[in-house]
Amino acid sequence: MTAQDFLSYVSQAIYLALFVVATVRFVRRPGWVSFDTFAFFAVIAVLLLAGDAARIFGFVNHPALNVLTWVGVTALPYILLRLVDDFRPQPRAVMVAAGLGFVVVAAVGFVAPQPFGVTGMVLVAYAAALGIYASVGFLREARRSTGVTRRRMQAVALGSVLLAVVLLLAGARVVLPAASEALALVSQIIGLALVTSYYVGFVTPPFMRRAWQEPTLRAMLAEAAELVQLPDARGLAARIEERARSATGADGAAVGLWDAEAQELVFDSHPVERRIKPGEFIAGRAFERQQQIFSTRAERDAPEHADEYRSSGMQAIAAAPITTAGRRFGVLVVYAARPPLFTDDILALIGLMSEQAALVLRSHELLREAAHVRAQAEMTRLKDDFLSVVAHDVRTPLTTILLNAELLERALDANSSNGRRAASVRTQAVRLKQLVEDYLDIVRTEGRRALRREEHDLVALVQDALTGMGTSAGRVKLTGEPELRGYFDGPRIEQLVQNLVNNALKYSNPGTPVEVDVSAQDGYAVLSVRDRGIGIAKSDLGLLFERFHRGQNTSDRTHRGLGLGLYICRQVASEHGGRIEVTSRVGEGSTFTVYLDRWSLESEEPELEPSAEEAAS
Amino acid sequence: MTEGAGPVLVVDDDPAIREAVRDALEAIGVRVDTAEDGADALAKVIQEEPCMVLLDMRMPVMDGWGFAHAVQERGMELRVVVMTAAADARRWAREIGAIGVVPKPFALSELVAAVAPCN
Repeated sequence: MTAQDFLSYVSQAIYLALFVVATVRFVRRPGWVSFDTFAFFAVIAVLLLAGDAARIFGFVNHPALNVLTWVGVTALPYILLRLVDDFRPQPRAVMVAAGLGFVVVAAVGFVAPQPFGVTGMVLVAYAAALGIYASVGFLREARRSTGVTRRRMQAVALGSVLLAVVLLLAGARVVLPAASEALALVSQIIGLALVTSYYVGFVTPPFMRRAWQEPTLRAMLAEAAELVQLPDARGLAARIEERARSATGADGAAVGLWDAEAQELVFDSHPVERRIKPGEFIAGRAFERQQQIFSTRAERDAPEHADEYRSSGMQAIAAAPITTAGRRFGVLVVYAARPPLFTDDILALIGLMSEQAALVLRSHELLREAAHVRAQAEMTRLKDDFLSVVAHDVRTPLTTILLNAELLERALDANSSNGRRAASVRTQAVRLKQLVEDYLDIVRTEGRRALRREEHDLVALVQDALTGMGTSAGRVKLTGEPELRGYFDGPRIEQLVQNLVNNALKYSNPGTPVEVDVSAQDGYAVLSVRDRGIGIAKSDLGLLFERFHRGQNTSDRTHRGLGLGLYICRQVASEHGGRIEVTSRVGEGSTFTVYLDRWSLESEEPELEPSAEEAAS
Repeated sequence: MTEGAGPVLVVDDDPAIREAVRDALEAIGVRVDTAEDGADALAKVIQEEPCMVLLDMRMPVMDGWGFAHAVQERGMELRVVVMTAAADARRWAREIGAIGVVPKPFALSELVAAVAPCN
């Protein structure tokens, strides 16, 4: 056995194996692509067997055999072209021309049984041209895709080029009989490469699939970390679409994101946004059933939308839900004009990609939530900082104005016009000071930070608050417990005490005492502020703790303010799980009583209703 | 705390406040000197042994904390009253061991009460 014979046997064995595989596939999954693959290898098998049989039984150059060979060789490139068309629609004119060419050339074989001559050359040229055309078609397919699909298409393209070369070599052997032996050896070697290419392309062994798929999967994982950082879910979806399209070599891919409010899937990577309901189209069905669906003919499987599928030219649709841990994000749809792209491993890949998309979207969501929380905390901090700067900057010039106005007022005769002017500057400065503090209070209350309870002695907090008021708090008497520990928000309590004491001082005569009392009652700390001042009218009691409310008898100029003090007091009390009450009699004075939940372990179950607010007497 | 025999030292980076406070205190017969930041104040404290320091906290060059720290380091005993427009006046006063607070803006009467020990 010569080396040439050996090569010949090896390639024949591979051809026959391919024929068997193609037959099994055609039987298992009938369809145009499997039929064409089967037909392709069947023709080769027939040619090989016929050649061997002719050699063995000695009827070489039998007319019938020649006709069979002729038809077979003519059929091969045509079938190859059909295979290209299976993957991607080819121009109708090309297909018709190739079909007619096949019939005409085959007919020539019957008329002129001696094929080698000018007609032989024409046949060889025609077959080689179709082989190269097919090769270009498969190469184009390869360039559109990545991973397994790309490699397979490249292998088929290489096989098709080699087929053309083998055909040209066969022609050359006739033209150059002297070099026939050498050319035969070369075509055997090329023939083996051809067979190997087709083997890899049409019947890719699992180890190759895995190896070729790995970079795609690796890239998917590597991209995930980058994807979750994208600002919006839509941009992220667009990247998933692009990856799904190129990894599968399909015509396109789309991600529909679930809009829970509208109960619709939103596709907006298209020129126009498209919204579909669950159950509509193949995509909506996959989402509704939460399972992957593959349709080789969408217009048949979703007849209610047949028109749209037909006009888009997309026959094959694979749709997979994007879901993780019960959280439904949407659906991934991959579509193509022809179904053969969707081999089992491509379908598995689509499933994998939709799972990964769900994880990426979930991570993205979590990151965004975390960022939102951080941003809010940062906003609150910035606002607090800004407020304290504003407060500081406004108070500083007010200090000078107030002080100088007082000095001027003292220096001038109170009855002179300049003295009155100085007095006016002072009272207006005092008013401005009060307004500024009130505005700051509003802004602070609007963006109120969460209550921060820490262990405090309430009596010490009250003392601190009084100290902070300066000498104006001189006539305040503190009575009750010497110490009362509990968990309070210190600054808020001081704000409450200052507001209540300020009111008491403001609405009573300088000669009368203001009494502040601290006591414990069940789980509550009870703080009361009592004055002997003008009192509050019954009609005012109900609205006393509302924002911007000011009493009827406080409209004179000395008592100007925004009416926020008691509103803030009520807020502070209710934040501390307590309430504020008032008893008052016009002309005799008022007593404000605040109940604060101490959060103390020793305390018993609270008996008071924390939601209760004010009670008038 | 012991008091020096010197004047009340008003420390503030705002000249308008320094002048207004000086006028107000001199009007009731209190001797006053002024300093425009902590470093300036430190030099004057060493020289004059003031009766009291009215101290602004946020100042350039050396702020209120820097001043208080330097005073402590030198083992000097000094009456300090914090005079600031910031909301944290009392906490800051505690931090530096001041004997009192005059939160800005203050009325003349509050200022007078604060310097009572030197009057």
